[in-house]
Amino acid sequence: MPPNREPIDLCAFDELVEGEIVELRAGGVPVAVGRWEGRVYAFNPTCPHKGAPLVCGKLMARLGSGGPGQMDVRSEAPIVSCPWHGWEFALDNGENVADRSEKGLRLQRCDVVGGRVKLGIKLGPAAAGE
Amino acid sequence: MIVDCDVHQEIDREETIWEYLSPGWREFVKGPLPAEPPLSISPSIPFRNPHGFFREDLTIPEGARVGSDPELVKEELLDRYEIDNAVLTGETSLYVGGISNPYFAQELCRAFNDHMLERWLSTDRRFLGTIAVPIQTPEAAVLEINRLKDEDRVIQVMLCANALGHPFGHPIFDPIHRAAAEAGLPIGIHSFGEGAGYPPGETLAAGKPSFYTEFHTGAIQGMMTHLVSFILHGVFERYPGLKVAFLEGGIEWVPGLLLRLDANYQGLRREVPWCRKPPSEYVREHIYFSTQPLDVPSASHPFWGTVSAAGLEGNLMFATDYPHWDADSPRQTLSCIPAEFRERVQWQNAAELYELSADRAHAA
Ligand code: FES
Repeated sequence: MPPNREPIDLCAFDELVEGEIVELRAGGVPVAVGRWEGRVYAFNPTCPHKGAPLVCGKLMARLGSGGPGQMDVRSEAPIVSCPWHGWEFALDNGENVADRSEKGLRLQRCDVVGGRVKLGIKLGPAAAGE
Repeated sequence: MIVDCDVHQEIDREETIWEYLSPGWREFVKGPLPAEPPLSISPSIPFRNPHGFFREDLTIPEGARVGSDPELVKEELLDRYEIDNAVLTGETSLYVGGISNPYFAQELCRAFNDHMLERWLSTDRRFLGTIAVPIQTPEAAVLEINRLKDEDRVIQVMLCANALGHPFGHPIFDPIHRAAAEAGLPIGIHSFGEGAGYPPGETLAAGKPSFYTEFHTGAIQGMMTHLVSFILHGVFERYPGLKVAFLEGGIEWVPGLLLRLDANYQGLRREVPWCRKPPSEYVREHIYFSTQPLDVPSASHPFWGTVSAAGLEGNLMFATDYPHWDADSPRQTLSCIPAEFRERVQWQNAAELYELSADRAHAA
């Protein structure tokens, strides 16, 4: 999607179910949209690894660790995990969580305006190998 | 310059090690019947090589075990092949994890280590020593590491026969990891310890082997398991300075394992979020492998491409495994290493791992 384009109206925020991903169309182009803790995240619906449909994946908290044996939640934004091989992509920056040098996920800006979900400009290549 | 990372020094006879035990243990072990000592220093190993375990061209000292005479090792190995340093890894002492009595195992490790200091390290500066530790009781292993860590030519801590039923990266071994890291000593993990601990763990992953050939071929399974365990338990996150040498496992299994492990990490990192980078990166930074038994027949063999693809040229170290039947000859083996990294394998990688200063690296 070219930058500086008018935001595209996708759906009502209330149509999205907390913790779930749906695949919508923006100008005929498919986009995955997930709702997590009251915020919306839009991303390329195709996994950059081997092409699995991310709409079948899961939104989960991003886990990190302060050291062996410790589990922490590392950011407000969730990860989407791929329904095939479980790769995780951070939905705040598109990074492949396990390995930043690996292919990341293309994100799109998404906001809630007046109760409507609006798809904005592309954030740009978020991670290597896009 | 050549560094040989796996030379098995032995005691000449069982009674010799008794002399290094405390008087009480010595009296107990001697027992009332000389033919039936109440504790054996050699846990039984169920497999026998049909040709015997040792190279048959070696001189066997009168009434003594192969590999027990430092003068012969110098003559038949160090001088003959111009080896500058030999890392002594032990023979009977490798299997101390198979001793049923944990207190005797502690005493025996002390005895083996003192024997090594006195009989080997003090006789020739080319010899470098590995500490035998009572794997059964990690806290006691720490005491032994700390007792010896400042000895001039002691450069490694050995883990082999596994008595605790967990691969060596498990936190049950954390005291040993910590002590080795604090002492600046690498941990050596020697092949063929699986199933030799007491109580015995599994020898092979799919079940008990029937043949020595099966056992010998499958021993890399144990090495794989220990390697994966070190990475996934985050041992190198906990101890960033720690290094581990996988000895007598060869290198052939490593590139394939790392492909699988890296791929699994991509999808399963969530289970071990303390691992902060792909496993192969930890391996390149922390783990070394000895060449023997090198099964690659030539320097031009395509296998070496997988070593380069995995970036492991800096992690491979030459070893003979003297005096065993599957020993490698320096001349023949080194000619099978690609010229681009032969020097690294021949000595540089070992010198880096064991921090061989000019003093340690030079012959007597
Ligand atoms: S296709 Fe998505 S992780 Fe493999």
